[in-house]
Amino acid sequence: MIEVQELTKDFTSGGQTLRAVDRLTLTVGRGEVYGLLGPNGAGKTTSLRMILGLLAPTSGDAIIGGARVSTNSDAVKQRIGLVSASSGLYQWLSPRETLSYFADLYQLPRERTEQRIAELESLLDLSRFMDRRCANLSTGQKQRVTLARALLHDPPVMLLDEPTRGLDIVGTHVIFEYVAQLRSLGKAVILSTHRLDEATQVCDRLGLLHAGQLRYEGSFAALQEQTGRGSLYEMFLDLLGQPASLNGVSA
Amino acid sequence: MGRLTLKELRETLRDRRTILTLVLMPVLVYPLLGITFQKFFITQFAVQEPTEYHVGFESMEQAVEFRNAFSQGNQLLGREIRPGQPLPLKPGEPPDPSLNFIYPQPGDEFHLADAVAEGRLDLGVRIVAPSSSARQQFEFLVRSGSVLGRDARQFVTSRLQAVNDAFVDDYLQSQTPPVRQPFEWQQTSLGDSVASDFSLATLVPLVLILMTVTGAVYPAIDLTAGERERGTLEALIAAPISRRHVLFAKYIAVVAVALLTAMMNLSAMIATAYGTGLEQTLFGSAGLSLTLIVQIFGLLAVFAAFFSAVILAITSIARSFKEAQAYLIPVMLLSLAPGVLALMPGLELTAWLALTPLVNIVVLTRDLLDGHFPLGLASLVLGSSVIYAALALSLAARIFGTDSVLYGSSGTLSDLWQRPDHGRSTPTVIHGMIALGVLFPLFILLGGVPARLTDWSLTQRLLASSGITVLLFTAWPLALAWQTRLDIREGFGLTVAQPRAYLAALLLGVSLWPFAYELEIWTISPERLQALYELFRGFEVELRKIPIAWKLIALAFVPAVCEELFFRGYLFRVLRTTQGRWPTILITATLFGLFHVLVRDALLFERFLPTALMGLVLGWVADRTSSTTPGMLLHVLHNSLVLLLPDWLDQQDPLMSNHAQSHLPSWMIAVATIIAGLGWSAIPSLMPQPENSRERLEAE
Repeated sequence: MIEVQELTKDFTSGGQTLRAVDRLTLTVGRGEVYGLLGPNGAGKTTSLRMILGLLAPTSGDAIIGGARVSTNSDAVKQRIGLVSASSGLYQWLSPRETLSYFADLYQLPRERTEQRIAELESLLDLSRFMDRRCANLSTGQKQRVTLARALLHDPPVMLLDEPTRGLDIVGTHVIFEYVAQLRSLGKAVILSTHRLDEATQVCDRLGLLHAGQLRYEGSFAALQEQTGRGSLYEMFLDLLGQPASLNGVSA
Repeated sequence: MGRLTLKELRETLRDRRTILTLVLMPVLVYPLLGITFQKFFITQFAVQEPTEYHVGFESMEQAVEFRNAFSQGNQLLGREIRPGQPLPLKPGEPPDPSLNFIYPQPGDEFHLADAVAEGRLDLGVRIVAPSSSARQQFEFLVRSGSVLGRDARQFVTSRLQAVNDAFVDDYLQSQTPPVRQPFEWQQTSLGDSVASDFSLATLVPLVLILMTVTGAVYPAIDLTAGERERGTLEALIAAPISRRHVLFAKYIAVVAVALLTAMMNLSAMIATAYGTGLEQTLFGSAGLSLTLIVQIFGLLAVFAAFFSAVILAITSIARSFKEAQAYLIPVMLLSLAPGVLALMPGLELTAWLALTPLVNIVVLTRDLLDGHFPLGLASLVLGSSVIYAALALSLAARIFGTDSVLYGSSGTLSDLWQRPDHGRSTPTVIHGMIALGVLFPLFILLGGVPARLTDWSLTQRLLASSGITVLLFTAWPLALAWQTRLDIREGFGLTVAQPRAYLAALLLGVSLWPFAYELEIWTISPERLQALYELFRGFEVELRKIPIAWKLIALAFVPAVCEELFFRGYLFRVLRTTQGRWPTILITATLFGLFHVLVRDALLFERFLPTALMGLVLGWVADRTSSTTPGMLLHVLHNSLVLLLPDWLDQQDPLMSNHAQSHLPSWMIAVATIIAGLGWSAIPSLMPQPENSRERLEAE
């Protein structure tokens, strides 16, 4: 469903070129949740933006459900739902108006729109605040509306970029429950997160990204075998080149 | 598209900051302003001396005859002022003006029409038929566009009309011919329609336009940079819809809010004008009519369409609300300048002004309020504004939502000044914008300085002028190139071209001046040519005393080399990184033409066409030769010949000097055409270049 082929992105600033993502290659199948992990600045968000066609790659390509992002970005966008911690909501619109607006953008027929909004309202428990202005919603409620917005056109692929950032334990738990639900719906999911403990539970496969390069990839058990480490924390600290004791983290 | 626009409008109109600008500002501001103006006028009139109109006559006899006629009317209106008996005035009513009669003494050289046309008299009066004839007739000479002249005429004709009205009354009552005789009069407008007096009505267009701008600014920022800052732009761009559609929906929303603001302001202004009795003061002597309101609103709509596109193009670059505000403040201040310029007395709507953004709308609205609607020029204003709006919108569409704007570096301004580690062969667009952005205001500020140094000799002033040219067009871009580690040779096109390129440049350089000369003859009216001659006469006389070599260096060589270095060197390469061959040539030629419009504090719009056409030729040569040096040769030769031309023409035939507007002999044009043709044909055989820098890199 998701096929990423040697995606590379260079940024130029002040006359200097920085390689943010370096020949990233991965695949994610139907009903699979892929955890893209890495420290800040590893290139996770840039990778997701290139897969969606928001950022033009310096080289490489991504194929989503048979559509190439380099040549058919509209078809790619139609197949992907994006949930990003940096995405906001229109303050002066209600969740219902927001969903209705995005249904127009995704060219959903009117009847289908009403049906999908009703489904998502029930699925994500939005009914209590559907007609309140988004400015007045809590962080968790906003995140649920963001998730509903991404699911509105029922995409086969979901990209979740730090979906739990800023959420409390309950909110985080709710989001991960939905991720599990997405898997059961047969969607291909790439999840970028810092919550390593939860990532091990919810992700079928993991990719550890550092300085734009995919250093390790596989199931949690395979990673343990590859790295000789028992936990993701240790693997991370290895990547960063720091001893575990300095950070007070133990396996 | 409709749903997209509806959402943008809903989002914007729910924002209380929009409501504040849209409703509260006009509702509160205009009544307050109206009351202030009213108080101001009452205070002014309470202390001011009566207006004095200067009324001229061709002889004392005519002045006496007119005074008799005028006094009759004054008496009938009961307005005759007797010494020591000031007239009781109603509150707010100005005192009657007084007439200062001016006539020549025997032996004086005096031309009544000239005195009126030059503004020395407010009104000229000629007795066409004397009082001894069956009906006394007057001709009133008024300077075209003069408010004082108009008011003076209205003042005296109201007195004459009073006599005529009394004549009719007497006749109807007595059934016998009355003693009084009626008067007849006609008006003749003189001069170049130069208004010399300020009217409050001229402020109305500027105020309306500023308010429309205020209405458009907030939604434009909020719907672009604000959306990016809030993180909603990412979700929007992630949807399978073209960015142009999204932008167009935003554009319509901004225009709609700007128009709503304009409508609110116009309504509040009209209501205030009626409420405070300032209707005529604000909307001209004819007052307000529905047609006038519709016309003004139509112009505001065109302006809103134009300005909304411009500010959307600017705010699309910004990555945050603050950044957008920082970009828009100088733009708004810059847009004030032409707006205020349009208030200048005597500024008339010409074809050039009709093509000048912002000024054209302000001047046309002012003319509308003054009762004029020049249909041809108004069409030009509307057409050009729509074209500018389309250009700005297409620029915005190129910028809006691009990844550099969405996720560009969050670096600070200091990053711009950090010297890069590696050199580059072509300048970037940002560096080009900085170069031009600094150059343009400095050019305006420093360009007129040498002309003001009146204590200096002409040689010293020419030296200063050359120094400024070198500083602006060479030192500044070179400094920028050093800072950005730009390869000077590549970045400015300072490469050696093929010998044929120089031959072509030589042929074109010696043969283009007759075309430039003839173009001037065709495009400049004899009156304008004479005015230009008057403007530069002193300079020309002084210039003839300067040694020819020094003249050629200061006025031909230095400007040509420096301008080529900047326009066809640096700027050309900046544009070629993003534009094709012809857009680059066209843009540099237009800028080249615009820079030549400003000469010694004067705006010489007639210079635009010849210099822009010259810029096209130079741009074409630069492109085909991939070098700036052939263009330099061409430019130096052209400048030198144009500089030497007046002397040579005077020697050949004094009548053919540049202010006599004579065409060149046809043999000269024919020879020039042949040489130019040879030069032209020498160029295309040179190696063609790839379409733009990216292609060139690929070709390499």
